[in-house]
Amino acid sequence: MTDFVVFNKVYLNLSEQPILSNINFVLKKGSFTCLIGPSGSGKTSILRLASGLIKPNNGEILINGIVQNGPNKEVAIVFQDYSRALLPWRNAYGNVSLALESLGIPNKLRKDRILELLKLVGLENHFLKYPSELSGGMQQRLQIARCLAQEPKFLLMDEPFGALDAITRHTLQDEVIRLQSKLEMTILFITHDIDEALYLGDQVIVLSKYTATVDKIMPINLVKPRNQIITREDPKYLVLRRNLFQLL
Amino acid sequence: MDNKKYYFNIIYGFLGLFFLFFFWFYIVEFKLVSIIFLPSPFGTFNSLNNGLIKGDLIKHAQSTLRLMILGWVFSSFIGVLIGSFIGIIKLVRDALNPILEFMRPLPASAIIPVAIAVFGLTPEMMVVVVAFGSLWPTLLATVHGFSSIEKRLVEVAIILQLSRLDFIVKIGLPNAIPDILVGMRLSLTVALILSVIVEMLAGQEGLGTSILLAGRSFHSDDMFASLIILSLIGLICNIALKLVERIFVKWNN
Amino acid sequence: MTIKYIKSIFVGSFIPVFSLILWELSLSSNASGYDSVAPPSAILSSLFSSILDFSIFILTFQTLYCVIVGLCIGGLFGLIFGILIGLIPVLSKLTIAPIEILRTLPSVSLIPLFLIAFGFGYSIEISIISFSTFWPMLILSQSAITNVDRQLVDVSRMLHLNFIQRIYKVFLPSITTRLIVALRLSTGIALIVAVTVEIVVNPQGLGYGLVISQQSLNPAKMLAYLLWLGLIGWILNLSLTKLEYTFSYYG
Repeated sequence: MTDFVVFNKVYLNLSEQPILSNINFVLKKGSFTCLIGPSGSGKTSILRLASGLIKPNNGEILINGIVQNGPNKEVAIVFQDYSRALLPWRNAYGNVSLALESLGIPNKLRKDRILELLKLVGLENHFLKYPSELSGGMQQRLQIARCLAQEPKFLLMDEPFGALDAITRHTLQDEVIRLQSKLEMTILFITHDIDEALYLGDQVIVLSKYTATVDKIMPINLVKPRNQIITREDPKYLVLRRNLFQLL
Repeated sequence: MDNKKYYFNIIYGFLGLFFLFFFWFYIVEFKLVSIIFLPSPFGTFNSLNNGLIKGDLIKHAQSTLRLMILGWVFSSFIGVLIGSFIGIIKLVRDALNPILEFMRPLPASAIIPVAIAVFGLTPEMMVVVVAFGSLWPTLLATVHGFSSIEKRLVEVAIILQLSRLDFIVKIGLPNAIPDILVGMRLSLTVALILSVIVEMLAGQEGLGTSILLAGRSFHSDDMFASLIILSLIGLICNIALKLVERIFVKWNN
Repeated sequence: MTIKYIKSIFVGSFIPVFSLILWELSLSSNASGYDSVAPPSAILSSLFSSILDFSIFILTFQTLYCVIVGLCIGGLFGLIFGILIGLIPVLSKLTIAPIEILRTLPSVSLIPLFLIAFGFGYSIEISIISFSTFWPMLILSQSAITNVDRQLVDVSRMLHLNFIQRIYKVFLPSITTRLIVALRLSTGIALIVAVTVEIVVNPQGLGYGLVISQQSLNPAKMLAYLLWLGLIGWILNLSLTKLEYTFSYYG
């Protein structure tokens, strides 16, 4: 598997304060990486650096071998505050359409693609509804659909399920796994939930709060495809869980 | 269940109006207030009838309406045009902010003597005075509408690499429309008030003048007839614009 | 960070300062006097002389006196009726129609009416201000009551408080912030109405000063009064906003 995303000696400061120091990691193509760490450890900053929204003070970020210089249509980011990332004046159909419009896809071809994407996230019956008429989980799925419309090679997700109830969370976790294998995306997923990180990831990157660096990169070699009940009962899972817990 | 409540509210509404008439009638009947000051409901109704049939009241009302609406249309057009320009370009916004903040609390009526000094008070200039005074609510609301775009949406636009034009049309404008509509509604209220004031000052035909004349000849029933027409105009305009708001902003639950 | 701050001050003051200079230069060449506009220097000197001979303070007092008394009367009645209507749902349903009709009447149009009753002077202005401030205070007090947190209402019922205790111990403290907001908005309205009455008909106060100086072709004085008026409005708004913050429980 090729190196798809490379963070090479990345430093980030905010008004003299170091947020990130000497961050180095590699994401293989098609892999699922979880980023975990206490609040304020710079997880969101890493995501914003990866998306091209901000530039590092030092070091470089390589996407598919090319040094990143700004936003890139192959990178999509799913924000944590989903309701603020959706256009309230467009319905579900219109919100997904925005991404296709930005790709220059003409009107006739958009329709099928939009309905296909909404079906992918389970919202095909709600395409006329406005975000204010959708529940939290549905809004988050809509945002995911919009991001997938970009056909991204690299998907960034910032604690996407943090504000949702446990049942919805588990459903969406499995959905993300399914989508990833179907669309062959490389995913970088931020979470503060240890169980979620272990369940979803091929590797877990742990950030340290006090030194603004990467504490440890833990490979997860649990059986795939994951299952909410079986995987969580696997003794390897429990060992990994204990190790991760002790790190944080 | 909802329908029942709706009809009950309407009944309550009529009941309330009925009580109002009742109070009015009684106050006049028992001479609690001088007839010069508060006419009887019937006297007012008579005067209203006469005024409408003879057509004086209609002429005055048309005059005021014309002045108000012309002034409002101008001020809305200019307000949205300039406001969107200011709201979109950050540099302009920062540079003009002190001036805008200074104009915001200034009473629109205080601007009238200044506008009269600069423009004069000919019939043509009346529209300019009204437009100038009612400009500010729309202008300020438009600036706010274009400058208060949710940060996340800006980031989404950056990631999708939307063109500048696309950003303004697909994100800036829809975001600004609710604010603009509210601003336009406030501007209309101001335009009505300014029209009445300007008519009173200039002695031109209109409801303001008819009220003034009725006052001078101590005909309180004529005065009240004009007042009723005036408040009806205000009420209808307000309801009409609120309806427009509801239609355009149906996503704002 | 300090560089950003300095930069923002520069950007913010550039246009006002630049336009003031432009304004001054374009008009100061006309030494013979001005008809409809005046340069900033003339405005400032007129303002200073009005301050020094106390004339501006007299006018300000006249206007503010009417504003305060009118606010007290209209505001108090509006507050009482608003609270009553807010507490008794039947009343609110009954009164909604009359209120909607009566409050849309522009207070300006009542000037001739009150002129008959009171003639020139303080009474006419105070009564029109009372009328104008009654409605916003009524509506805002009513909504302050109806928007009291549902949970507080339930708490007061569980504690079996009687009507007066409920008002005093639960409702009044929780609506203070909203009432101060209502007061701030009503004060703004009161000032506007006061100035309007003075412009249209009443020979006293800052509005009158504006009109007189416009009619006597003294634009420097007129603009000086306008500037002063803006200042007064700004100070009033600022002090009431400060009051709002001290009473706010939400930080």
